[in-house]
Amino acid sequence: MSKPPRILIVEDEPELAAGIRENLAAEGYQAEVAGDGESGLDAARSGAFELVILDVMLPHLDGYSLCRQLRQEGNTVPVLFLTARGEPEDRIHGFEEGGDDYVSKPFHLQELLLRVAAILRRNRWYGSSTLDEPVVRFGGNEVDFRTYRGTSADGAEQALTHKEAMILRLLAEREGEVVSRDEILDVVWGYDAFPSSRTIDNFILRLRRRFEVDPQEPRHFHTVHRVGYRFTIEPSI
Amino acid sequence: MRLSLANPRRLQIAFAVLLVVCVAQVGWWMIDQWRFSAAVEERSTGLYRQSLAAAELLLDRGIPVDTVEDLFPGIIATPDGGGVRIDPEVLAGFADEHWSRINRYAWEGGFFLVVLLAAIGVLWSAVRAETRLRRQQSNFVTAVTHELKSPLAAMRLAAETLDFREPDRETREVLIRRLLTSLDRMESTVANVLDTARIDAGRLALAPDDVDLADTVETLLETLATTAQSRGVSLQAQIPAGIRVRADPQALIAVLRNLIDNALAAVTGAEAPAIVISASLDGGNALIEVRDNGRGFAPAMADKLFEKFYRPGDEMRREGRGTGLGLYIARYLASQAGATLTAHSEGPGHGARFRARWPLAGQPETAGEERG
Repeated sequence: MSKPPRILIVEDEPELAAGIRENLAAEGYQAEVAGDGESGLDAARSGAFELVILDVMLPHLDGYSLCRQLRQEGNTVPVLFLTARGEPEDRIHGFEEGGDDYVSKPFHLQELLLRVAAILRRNRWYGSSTLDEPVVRFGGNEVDFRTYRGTSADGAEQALTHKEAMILRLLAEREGEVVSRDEILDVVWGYDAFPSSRTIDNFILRLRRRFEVDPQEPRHFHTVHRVGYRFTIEPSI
Repeated sequence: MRLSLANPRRLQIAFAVLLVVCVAQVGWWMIDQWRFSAAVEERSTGLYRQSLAAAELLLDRGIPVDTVEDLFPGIIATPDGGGVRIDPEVLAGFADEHWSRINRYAWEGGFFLVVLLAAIGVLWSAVRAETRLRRQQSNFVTAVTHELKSPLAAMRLAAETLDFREPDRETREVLIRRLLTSLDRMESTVANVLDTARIDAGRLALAPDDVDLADTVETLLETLATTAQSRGVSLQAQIPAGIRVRADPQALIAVLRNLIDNALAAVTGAEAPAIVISASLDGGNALIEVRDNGRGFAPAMADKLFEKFYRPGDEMRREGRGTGLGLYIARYLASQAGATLTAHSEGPGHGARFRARWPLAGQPETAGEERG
């Protein structure tokens, strides 16, 4: 029997933290609570967790800074922001700092549980898929999906974000096939299509800038008009 | 570059540039006036010199001295070939006029600069006050949002868990206790916001009465027991029986409640969190103290804590619950009863003591204000 996924809850509201922990435990997860930003960062750094549920306004270290710090250290544990700050700019800020999902307080219990399950499912897909083929090489570029790092054809070091790595993983897995934007949204972001398909276009642009010799004339990341994208290992027009 | 109160640095630069431009303008204006005045003096003297030549010619032609002097005022002719010269008084008059103009411009320019500096000073201090208020209000909105949404989220979670999980009796009791704790917190936040609005509008009605302190504290602690218990906080009262104070009963409860709420927020995360409410007699007053072993504060901040909207630090890294209104309301209500409220701490990490010196019942009214 596989171990239950471990989830870290960084939340300074004791009643809320206890309620979430108990509900996650009832769903079969192993959940732990950190009551402030600093202890949350220490716990997240341990690498023992498959997901961090992170409040934004926290004593000592705010959630955005905590997430940024983790990403700068190369820690790719998925982060679900859970906060009273629900304005669109707050959400965008959360995603920019490397968050994977965003839930506003007050939230519906079932919605939170669904989102947690979706993030874990996506992460497990990425993990198992990476296990089969941890490295992709194309046109002089190389990306290691385990470390999110790689080198481009010109020899430059590339450190991918979690989402960039997931999109590349999905495209590489379906090499030569057309992958629709909806499919990318579904697999990489989950059922909740918060980002628009424009966001995906931006991520593809970022991948092109990293790995295409001429991003204007892509040889590997091809746009299929009105449908989605096709990735090819061998350069093609 | 867009200037707004949200960016005082830009305004500061704009004021400095304005000041430099104005100083340069006044300086240039004074130099220009000085040059102009010197040129006028030079031109006038030149005209007199031309008159000298004409007067000398007339004298050579035998025109009498008196006639020449009448024809050319400001020129003095000396008889018997003594020649002509400009009257020294006229020259002194030119010089006086020149320097009096320079003097006037210097005073006017200086006065203009002083007025300008004073205006910029007043404007700048207003901008600073406005910026500070905006920041505090923005923090306040963030804090109130957090203070309302957090207990709301905890209540929804507890209620949905009750509905969704069908928990056993023991869990049900825990969930109901959490619901009540969160409800208390919301009530407290809403009450503080409404009280502040009433204070601001001058519509807070107080009806002083003789109040038994021990009874009041006991009743209050009963309502807070659930919250303290669920957070693992030891909440104790040491109030001798028989102390009666002069207070509006609801206002006294609001003061004590805010002090205890403040202490509950301060002990979050403390080891063996404890709050003690004690009282003793001190002359014609009751000395009521709320003591906690929480995070404390720098002694220099003691008075700031009572400012409206004041919350230490950055809202994103909130060190404790609250909206920045509780202590403001507590001090206001205390002052209305003629009581004084002070805060004491040895420093961060050393706990805090909030002390109210409250007039006993039967004492002459000091600063009490009865309204409504």
